[in-house]
Amino acid sequence: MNPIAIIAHIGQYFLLLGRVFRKPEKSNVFWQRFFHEVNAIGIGSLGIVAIISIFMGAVITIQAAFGFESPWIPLYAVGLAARDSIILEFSPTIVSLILAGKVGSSIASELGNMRVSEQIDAIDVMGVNSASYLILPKIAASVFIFPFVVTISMFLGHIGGFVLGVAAGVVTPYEFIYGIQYEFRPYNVVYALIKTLFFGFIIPSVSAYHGYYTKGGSLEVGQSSTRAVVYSIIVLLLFNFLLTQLLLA
Amino acid sequence: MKYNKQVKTGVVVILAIALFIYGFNFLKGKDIFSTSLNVYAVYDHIDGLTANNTVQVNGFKVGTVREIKIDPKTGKLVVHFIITDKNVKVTDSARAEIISGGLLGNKEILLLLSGKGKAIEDGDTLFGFNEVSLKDQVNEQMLPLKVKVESLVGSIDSMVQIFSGILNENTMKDIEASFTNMKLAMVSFKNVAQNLDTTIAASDRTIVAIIQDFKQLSGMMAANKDTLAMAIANFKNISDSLAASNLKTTINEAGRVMTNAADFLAKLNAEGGARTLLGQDSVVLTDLRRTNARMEFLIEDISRYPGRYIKLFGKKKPNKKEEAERQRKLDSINRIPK
Repeated sequence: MNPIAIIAHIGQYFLLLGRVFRKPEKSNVFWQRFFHEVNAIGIGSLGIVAIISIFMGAVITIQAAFGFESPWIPLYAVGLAARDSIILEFSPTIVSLILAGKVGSSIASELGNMRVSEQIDAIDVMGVNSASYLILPKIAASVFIFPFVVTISMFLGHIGGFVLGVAAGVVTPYEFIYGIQYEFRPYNVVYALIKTLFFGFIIPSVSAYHGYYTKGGSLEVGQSSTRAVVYSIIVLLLFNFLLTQLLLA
Repeated sequence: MKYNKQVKTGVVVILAIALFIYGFNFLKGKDIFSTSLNVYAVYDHIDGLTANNTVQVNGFKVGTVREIKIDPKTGKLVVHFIITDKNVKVTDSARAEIISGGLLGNKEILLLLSGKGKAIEDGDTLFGFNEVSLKDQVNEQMLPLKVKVESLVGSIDSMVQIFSGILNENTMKDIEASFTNMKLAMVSFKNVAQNLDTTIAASDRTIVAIIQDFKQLSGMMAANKDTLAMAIANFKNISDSLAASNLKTTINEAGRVMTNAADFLAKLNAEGGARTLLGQDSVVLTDLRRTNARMEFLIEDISRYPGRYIKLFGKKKPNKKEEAERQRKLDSINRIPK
């Protein structure tokens, strides 16, 4: 892809955002769609988020214990490493990446299908702002529910690390709890939740952009769905870097 | 159901908020489902202690620092910490020391429990103090040294100033001259040494002979060691006896006698001293003189006229001339004034 095409995509993306952030036609319709999307994006993902978080926490704990197997490093460093990994990176970023795969592909294929079956054209013909009507509830719901999902993910990550780490015998309950309470910086959680808000915006908007501008038939819907996931992840990682640099460095 | 989605959303949101509050406080060291004891300690300097630092007893974590603030009245730092462990018995005589703990060099509060006194209650204040840090130790050791070095440098400075005052152009010349003289003196010394060397070389044999004599002498002394020892012992005995005898008293007595004699002589020497001694008037003296003259006369008379005193063969007639002479002498003796 040549640079001009990238700039053109960025420009078109922001033009779409400009159309999205108009006042909704009817607030009760918006709220109905909003809660629908909250359920689809957030609550529908809770199961996979829970499973990922628990095993992620457990794996980080066991890996940390394996890596710190040295008499110089106290055992509570396992809990410390698990806590900081979960709060700083795994819960906000990894969960967002997985949700980018799950949510992003579903948004892109939904909008792409509506585009190729000319439902979007029909909405436009009815005089309704199709971008705002279709995309705004998704973005709003995502930004709203992502911090809560990530919070639950953080909690479950620690639970998973504690339960499975102790069950695996790599760390004692006292050491793990001492470690996760050791030198705790509340700002880390704030940073993680700020990141999450950005990710909650990036995933549906980038995916919706790719779905909304799908051209062609059902084959192109699949392609745009894949592109939506890939670009969501790239933009997400780019913002992860930028935000980390801004907020922590 | 119409509100199904809203209800689900609400449940998830409330659950997430609850987990957030619980988890966040838990990570901050405060378990909101268990009661904890709020304790305060006052410090001059908290040494980098921050909220969420560990409160421990003998290395075991029993609580967390919650908040540090400045007391507006005294300006001291009030550290608020909680004790979550129910098994630790903190009494009002316990002390809270800020120490360096852990691998990362962060600070901790170490509770020093004494077991005396009554158990603390929520909101009580403990006595707080700081651990003596390495920095403080070094300061303590280095500060007197630094002061000394400073004063030493000052002395050296003034000394150097004095020296630079002394070392002006004239003194430099003098010193140069002294060096020249010293050089000459050294040359003389060298000559002397050479001469001495020659002399010693010449009298080498004599010296050897002297040394041999000394050797013989010392050999002899060594051979007669016992005798010498005896002699020394004898000397010792003598000196002991001397010491034992009332030498001191004797000497004192002698001294007193001498003093008296000196007084006597002084009196004698004084004008009319003899007179005074021999009587306040001259009767005695006259008598003495007369006695003296008579004795002289008697002796002379005896020697001249022994017949007068020793009669062996009858009476001898006295010579008229001799008799006259004798009478004259007697008269002269009687004429000695009284």
